[in-house]
Amino acid sequence: MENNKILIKGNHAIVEAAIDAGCRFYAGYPITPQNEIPEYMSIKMKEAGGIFMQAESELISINLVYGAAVAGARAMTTSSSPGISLMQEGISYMAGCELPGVIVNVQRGGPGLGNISPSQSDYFQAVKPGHGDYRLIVLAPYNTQEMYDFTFEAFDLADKYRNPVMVLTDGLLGQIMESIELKRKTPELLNQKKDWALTGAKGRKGKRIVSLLMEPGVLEKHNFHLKEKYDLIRKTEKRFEKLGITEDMEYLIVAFGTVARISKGAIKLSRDIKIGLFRPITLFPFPYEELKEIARKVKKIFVFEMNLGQMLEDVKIAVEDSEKIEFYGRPGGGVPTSEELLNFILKRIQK
Amino acid sequence: MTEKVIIAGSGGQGVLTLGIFIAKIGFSEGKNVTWLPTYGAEKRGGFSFCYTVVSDEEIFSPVVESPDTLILFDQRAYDVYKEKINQQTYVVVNSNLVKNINKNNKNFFEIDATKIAKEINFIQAMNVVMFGAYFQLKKIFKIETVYNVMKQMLKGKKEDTFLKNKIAFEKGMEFFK
Repeated sequence: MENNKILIKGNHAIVEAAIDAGCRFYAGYPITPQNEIPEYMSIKMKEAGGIFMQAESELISINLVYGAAVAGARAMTTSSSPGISLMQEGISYMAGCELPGVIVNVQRGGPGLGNISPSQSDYFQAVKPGHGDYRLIVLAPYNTQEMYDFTFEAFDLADKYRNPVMVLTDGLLGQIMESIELKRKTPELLNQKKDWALTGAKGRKGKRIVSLLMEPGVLEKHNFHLKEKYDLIRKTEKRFEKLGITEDMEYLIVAFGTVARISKGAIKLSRDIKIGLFRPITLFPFPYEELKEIARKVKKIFVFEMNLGQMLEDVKIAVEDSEKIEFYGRPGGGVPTSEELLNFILKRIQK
Repeated sequence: MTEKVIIAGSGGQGVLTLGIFIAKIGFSEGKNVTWLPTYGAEKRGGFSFCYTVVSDEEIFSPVVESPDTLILFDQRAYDVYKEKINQQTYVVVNSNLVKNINKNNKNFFEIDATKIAKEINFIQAMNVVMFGAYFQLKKIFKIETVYNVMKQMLKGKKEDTFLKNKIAFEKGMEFFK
């Protein structure tokens, strides 16, 4: 056993990462399957000397984070699907005001209150979020190590672009316990000066950070400014993983998060079939061009999700010949097995 | 080596704790491990189960569909999981609470873990007695690791809690010696 490795629950790994990344303000409201985050955070944040607040609702949680971010703090909130829906207004305000902040969504089954089983049915509300022309940077971990790594990196990304970042995970990744390696390093941008932050106007001119831009043309200009930022993010922050992508590969699986790891199991079981995996890690920016390139070479593309085909739409944008695409999804909290995915692949290949 | 275990019983019997215990032992021996509990609705008396996987290889799905071992604490747990038993599956049941069984498998083991735990005046350690039996039957872990992890998990508890757990473990182990 290596000394820097620990056995930890996914939800707890998120807390460790946030504290290590210098997050010193957390607000949250209980909802399964993310309850271990506020529970553990209430202990860890106190130890770190930061502020932990149990808010009276998700609306308050996100607006507390909004307030902390405007003052220059590294701030985070977490919730699960219905709670994230409630936060959408606040997230849009943060995006409009160009405020950094980290939002973790430990997805559960929907729509409505749904159930508490793992799901990926919030892909849309993460990648194509609430009102207004804005984008979140969306990171999708697929094991406990990445729960830690991506939450850690989310704070630097948020500060770098002055933009909210979402870690899109699910009940399964939140609940499992796995071994991870703690990095315990100082985040690159932790001490970067936030000249824009509202820290009190004593001895200097006052500043304003608002999302209400009423004068003619100002909001339109602001939107074009935001677009430039999103284009830069598209150019520089795209992340993905390729597995078993060979020259003679015939088939390709596209999957993210939990389903990507289950797909890896299906590939292992498939033995002689020449099949690879393309795993988008950033869901925004989505790696369209890279997927397009690989997709050209294969006979069929299998898209697997724990929803009814949400990332599928982005895969269709990326792939020139969408006739090649075969989709299999489990909505409402269903989690596929590796055998189940392989059976689907075999049936469609034989057709 | 890959060992996929389902532990099932009722809330309060130590189902989830036993799963963590096995995961920690595997982790201490340098294996990859995953542990996935039921969550949300569990409470004392409610149905409770967890999946623990210990492997030399990367673990893709933490959800156990075809278990190598079933550790079943009561009748309800047996009734839910009996469908998953095949000729290769190791099944360890607490015979005090699992009475109605169809023993059609060569690796089916019964132990009255409730009675044994009562005899040592430590009913809370029924799950540890069950683990002792599992440990002895499957022989995949080292005994030193078991004691080390047990000590680590009981850190901060009363001195004799470790000793009582150790006895519970050994009683379970001796039963199948």
